[in-house]
Parts: sequence; structure tokens; C-alpha cells
Amino acid sequence: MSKFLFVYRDDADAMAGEPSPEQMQQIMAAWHAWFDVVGQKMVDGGDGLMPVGKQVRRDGVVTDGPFIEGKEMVGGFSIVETDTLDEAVEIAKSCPIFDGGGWVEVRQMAGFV
Amino acid sequence: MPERTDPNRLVDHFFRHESARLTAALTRRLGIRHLQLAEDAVQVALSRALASWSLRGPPDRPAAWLWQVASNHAIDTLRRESKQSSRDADELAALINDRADSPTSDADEELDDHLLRMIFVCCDPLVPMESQSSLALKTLCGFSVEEIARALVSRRDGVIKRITRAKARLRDSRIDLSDINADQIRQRLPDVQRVVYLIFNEGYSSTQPDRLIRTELCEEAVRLALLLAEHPLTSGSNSAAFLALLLFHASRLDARLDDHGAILLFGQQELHDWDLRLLREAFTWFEQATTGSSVSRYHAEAMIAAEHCRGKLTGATDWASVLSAYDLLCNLAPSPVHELNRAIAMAHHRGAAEGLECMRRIDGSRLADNYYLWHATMGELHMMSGDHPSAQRCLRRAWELAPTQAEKELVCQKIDGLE
Repeated sequence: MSKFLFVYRDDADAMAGEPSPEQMQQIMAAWHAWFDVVGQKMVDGGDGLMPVGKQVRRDGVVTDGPFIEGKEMVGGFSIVETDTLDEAVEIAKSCPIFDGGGWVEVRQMAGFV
Repeated sequence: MPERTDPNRLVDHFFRHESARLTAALTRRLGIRHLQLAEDAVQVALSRALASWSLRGPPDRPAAWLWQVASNHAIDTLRRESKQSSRDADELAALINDRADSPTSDADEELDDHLLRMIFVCCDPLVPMESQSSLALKTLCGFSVEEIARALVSRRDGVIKRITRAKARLRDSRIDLSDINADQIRQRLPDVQRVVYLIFNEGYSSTQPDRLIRTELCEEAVRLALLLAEHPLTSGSNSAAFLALLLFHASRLDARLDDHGAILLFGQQELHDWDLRLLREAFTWFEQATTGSSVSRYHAEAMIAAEHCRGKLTGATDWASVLSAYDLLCNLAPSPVHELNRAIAMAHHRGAAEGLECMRRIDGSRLADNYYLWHATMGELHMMSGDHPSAQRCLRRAWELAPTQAEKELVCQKIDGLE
């Protein structure tokens, strides 16, 4: 078994305006349904990421944001455990993120810890 | 599997309705001129909820969570803006002080109180008539502009214009939610009921092609009417009658059209298509409405609906009661349309000749020009009296004037029945 980091990426351009409250609730319901399908293989639901933050670089250089005018950003992450990368990819294919124009980056975790 | 709370705890339309209640709560604190800020803050809170609850499920008290995020956002925005304006800074302080009694400490009742006051602000007569249902759907029901455009079968930019105009009026009016007193609430109840009725009829009328939207509009109107009937400031016989009326109609919403969208007349509707749960509730509220001493037009209308429903259940309509309810209605809310329906009741109770006599006495010259039901009714009454040529003539005219395909087909059926 290996662990895979699911990085949920959003594309600001692809989002068709703000979803209405009703649409938001439907999107949420779709995510919950997906989590239920993934079941035990989702070993950590992870977290969402706020759009605020800082970039810290050498010599104490601090800049704003995960992005400033960026079109894409990381919206959240989860950890999935499967036998193979292919299996993890299959799970990612059914993620509801695609409806909103986002996509999933699937990264195998090294397992150093 | 990570620990997630049960997502099903969120009831249907939770986001939509919570957005309306939160907007009302924030607007009450910030003043009506910050309505837009309140709406923006609520939208931000819902977006964050979407991101975080999608992964973890909603928190124990989702409404309190949303309130926290929305009020923080509003405060931050005001703080940024208050660099230019000291008045807003004072308000900001007041807002923060008020946080102690925010919905985190209370819940449903307080939020409903805000929403009730917001209903009275949004249905104020100073809001242009054509804007009222759009504004109500946006602010009181949490619909988006696109959803309103679909629901009211209008264009998106038209809806935006109507809402912008309404908000500008409200901003200038400076009616604040806390300013509304009990007297004003009693006085303006008919205005509010009219707007809620308008929303209901948007859903109930057959011009809306989408069954789902029809149901949603009726549900929203019933939700607002229920709040009016239950809230201490507005409860009473009048609000109970109004709610009963909407529930009587709502109970047969699905029974009114067949699978192909054709209109089914009351007599053709199948009882098993009725929502008997709603019907039971309707009778309960109706009973409550009749215990009071006051009588409103909604009492009369609910009485008529109740008699028809009772007739459907027992197989025999008490036309004498229907007729006396129409007498009452014509008295309380004079209108040629009500007179016309009274003529039908008269025909059933005393015969077609008496019905036609009632029709002749109505000042219906304007109705006859463009109201297909006028001619359909005339046709029906002539048919009852055995005068088929006159019936045919009237029904032809009704067919020409019928505004929708479904209504044309309905008239067609009657013409076919003659031949």
C-alpha cells in the first residue's frame, strides 16, 4: 500500500462566476457523496486552504499570497491510500472538482516517515 | 476515514435559507444602507463553508459558524473603509460590541426575527412593484440572479436592473430593521402578504414550464407565510388564513397538470396526486384562522379552497358554502374576477340561468376584451343551460385569447365536448 497526496487545484478562469447558495450546497453534497464512495481508502480528508498566505524566501524576503494575480491555486488536499498509482488515479477521476473547472494532482508520498 | 460529521444534518436548501437569514441579521446590525456589504459578506462565508465543509462535513452549529465568518468579513471591510469615515468606525465598534448576542449564543428564533423584519423592509410599498418579487427572491429566499431569471421567466439583465433599483430605494429610505415597530408590522401585513402571494402565484401559474421551479417557488412562499403565521409579531387569525390558503393550493400543485403538462381541471384531478400531508396542515391552520374574530380576504379565499378540498374528499361539494364564501370575498376584495368565480358557484348552487344572470350584472367590459376565462366561463354556463351555439361562440373566443398552449388545449377539450 502507498499513500498519495491529492492536491485539489482550482482554475479561477474556469469558474463561471460565483455559484449560488443552492449550487454551493449541491457541490458540497457531491463531495460528501464522493468521500463516501472512496470510503476507507481516504486515510486523511486533509483540509482546505485559504487564499491568504505569504511566500517566505531567503534573506527574509516575504511576499504576499500563494499568488497575487495567479489564475490557479491549491484549494485543498487529502491523503488516499491504495496499492498502486493507477488505482489512486482512478479514484481521482470520480472527484467532483471537475464540474467547477478544477483538477486533481495525484502525488505519491515518499513514505520517509 | 477521517472523522467527519454527518453531512446530512444540513437540510434541503440550507445554504439558500441560511444566506437569507444571515443577510437579514447582518443588515439589522449594519443598517439597510449596507445591504450590499451584508450580502457580500454572506457570500464569502458560504464560499468558505463550501471549501471547508466539503472536506470535513459541517460543524456542530453550522449557522453559528457562518455568522462568525460573515460578521468578521463585514467588520474587516468596514474597518478598511472607515479610514475615510469616522461614522462607520463608530458603527464598527457597535457591531463588535453586539457580537456578544450574536446568533452564536442564540439561534433560530433570533435569526427568524431578523428575517421577519427583513420581509417587511423588502415588501415596503416604496419598492417599485415590478421589483418586489425579484428582490424578495434574492434577499428573503437566497436565490441567485440566474435562478430568479429562470423562476420569473425573465432576462438576467432585467432582473439585475430591478434588484438594483429596489436596493437604491431601500438605501435612500433608511428604513432600518430595528426601527420597524409592532404597529407598522400590523399595518403593512397586507403588503407583505401580497408579495408572498405574488411569489406563490409565479410558481402556481402554468406559465412556468419547469416543474421543479414551480415547486420551489411555492415552497418559498409557504416558508415565508409560515414564518408570518408563527412569529409573535405577525401571528394571528389573518396570517393563519393566509398560510392555510397557500397550503390548500400547494397540496394539489402536482395534481394540476398531467404527465404531458396539460392542465387538469379540479374535477379531473386525482386525489392520489394530492399532497395529503400539506392538505392536513392546511385544514389545521384553517381551523386556527376561524377561531379569531377578524375576517380578511384570505379567510374568504381559504374558505373557498377548504370547501372545494372537502368536496373532493367527500365526493360532494357544498356549493351553498362556496357561494357564501364568494359573497364574503366580493365584499372584502371587490373585483370582477371574484364576481366571475362567484357566478360559477351560483350556477352550481342555483342553476345556470342564475349564474348567467350574475355574469350579466358584472361590469366586465374590460375583462371581456382580454381575459380568456371570462369567455370560458360564459361558454361553460351556456353549456350548462343547454345553449350549445352560444357556448361554442364563447369558447372559440376563449381559445383565441388563451395565453398558453396548455390553456388553449383545455378550452379545446371543452369545444370537443360540445360536438
